[in-house]
Amino acid sequence: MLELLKDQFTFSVILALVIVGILNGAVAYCIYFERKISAWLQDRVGPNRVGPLGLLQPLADGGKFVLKEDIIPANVDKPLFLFAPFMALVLGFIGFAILPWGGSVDLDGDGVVDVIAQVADPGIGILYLLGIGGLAVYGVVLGGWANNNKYAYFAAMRATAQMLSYEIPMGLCILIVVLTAGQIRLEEIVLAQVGNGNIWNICLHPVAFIILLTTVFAETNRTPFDLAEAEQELIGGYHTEYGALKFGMFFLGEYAHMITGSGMVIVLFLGGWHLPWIPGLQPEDVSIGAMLLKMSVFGAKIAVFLFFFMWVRWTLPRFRFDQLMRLSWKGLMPISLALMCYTSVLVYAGKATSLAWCLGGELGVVFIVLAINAMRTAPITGRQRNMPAITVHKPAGAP
Amino acid sequence: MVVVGPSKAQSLQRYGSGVVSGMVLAVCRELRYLMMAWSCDGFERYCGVMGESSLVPYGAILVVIGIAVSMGVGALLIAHLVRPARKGDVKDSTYESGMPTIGDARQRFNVRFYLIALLFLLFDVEVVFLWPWALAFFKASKTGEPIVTTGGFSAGSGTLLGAMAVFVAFLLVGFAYEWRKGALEWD
Repeated sequence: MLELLKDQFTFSVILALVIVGILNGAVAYCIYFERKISAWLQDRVGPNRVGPLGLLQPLADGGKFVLKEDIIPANVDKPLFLFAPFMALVLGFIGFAILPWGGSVDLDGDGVVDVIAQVADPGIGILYLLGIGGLAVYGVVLGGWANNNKYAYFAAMRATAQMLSYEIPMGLCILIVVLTAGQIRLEEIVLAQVGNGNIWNICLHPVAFIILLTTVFAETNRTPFDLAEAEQELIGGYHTEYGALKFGMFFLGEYAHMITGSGMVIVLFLGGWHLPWIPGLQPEDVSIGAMLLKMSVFGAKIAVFLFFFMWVRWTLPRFRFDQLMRLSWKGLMPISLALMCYTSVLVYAGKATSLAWCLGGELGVVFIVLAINAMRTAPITGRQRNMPAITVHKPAGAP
Repeated sequence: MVVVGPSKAQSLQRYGSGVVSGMVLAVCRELRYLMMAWSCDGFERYCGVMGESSLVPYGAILVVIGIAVSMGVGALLIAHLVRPARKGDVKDSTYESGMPTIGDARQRFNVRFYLIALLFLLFDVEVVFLWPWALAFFKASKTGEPIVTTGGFSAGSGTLLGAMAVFVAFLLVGFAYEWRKGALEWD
């Protein structure tokens, strides 16, 4: 058995099955926690009827998804209508394959590293995640197109423009990490952060971290970027016509995408499975126990991120569409490009991992942006420059 | 409540060009990722920038895709087998807040979406060039030795930095132009 496990491919397949199982449970309970945390933030009780504390609610929801009538409206594009939720689910569930869950493992304790606790470690590394993230737009777009419903169609248009726009700052921010680490394999990026005196990339590039986090919110269509399913304007957006398990598949795909996205941010900026100075979480700890410990640390970091996603949902209001596009093209894009150029100059000067230089430069960029904003004479209204001014009609005699 | 509007055939005829251009864009996007993967992989063979690669991880990825696909197909099948199906004209009509549907949903849309698509292609191709460059540049800066390709072309870190500075400068000129032209404004 142990000999069999020492083969990387066998180990990968078993790990993949285990993680898909965990991910399914995690996604179901994400929905439960989303509702509980929403309730907590809004001073409500939340689901509490099914089982103790409502803990069986995901099972009840799942049962309802399966048993509900699954309407396929008459004038939808039927193949694409079926394909879209399938696409959303599949793409949500294949991104995790290259996340480094537990570092290197020595299974039989002979001091030789046998396998890596990662389903796959392809040479293209992070590009795989970018590709999967880019494909994820198809679930939304095909869904919106196939519905043949005006709301869904608008949602599909919006989602395309939004996801395309936010992919560019995302790519540039990942590039900053790649320039710092000199690697595109995720495990190597984690090791580079450990090797750099336990300084995670978030300490070197906090602004890039915030931009990447923002783009992950936009790519997963979460509030404040959920314009594709803005229920007040577009009913359900791209899933207006979906019901029963097809709607459930969109839901599962979205949460799985959130988990993968958080995993990516954690690997790139927060040291993956690593915590500084704690024995068992260092690269040289390769026992099975250390692997499980590393996996739980990684999972805990993802859980913190998921809580953050839910917290933001009830804290920030949704953007308007022009604000959304402006944020990406006029805000995040130039800033991340500037940071990228600055990082390459630092790499050239050999200062790419120096805390003072990186942090100083980032703070400099923030300062410049703030200074430009302060020097602008136009009032900050959130309106575009080409929009007509608001005229306030005062009644006669008013002060 | 009968759906008023063109039939599916008419609608396809009318908006076919939109579908085709959308598909072309889609293919371009995927080619881009292939290009990115290929260019990094090519660099690896070209100047040994990345570590060794093997096909084993791709086998594992195929297994994961297989698991995910079977989950998706299984979900659709279960939904198909278990759900009740009681059809009805009203039930099967398009839901637009209870209003009778007027016309087809696939209408013309704002030209700005096309602009965004074009700008996206431009900037994303830029990022494609930056990926392999970043790896080569890091290696050249770290070791202090020029990157020598199999074709005999050699470039030190300074040359690489200068080349990318010129490239980004051209790009920034284009970016400034489109900003001034108002291609990024929505109205």
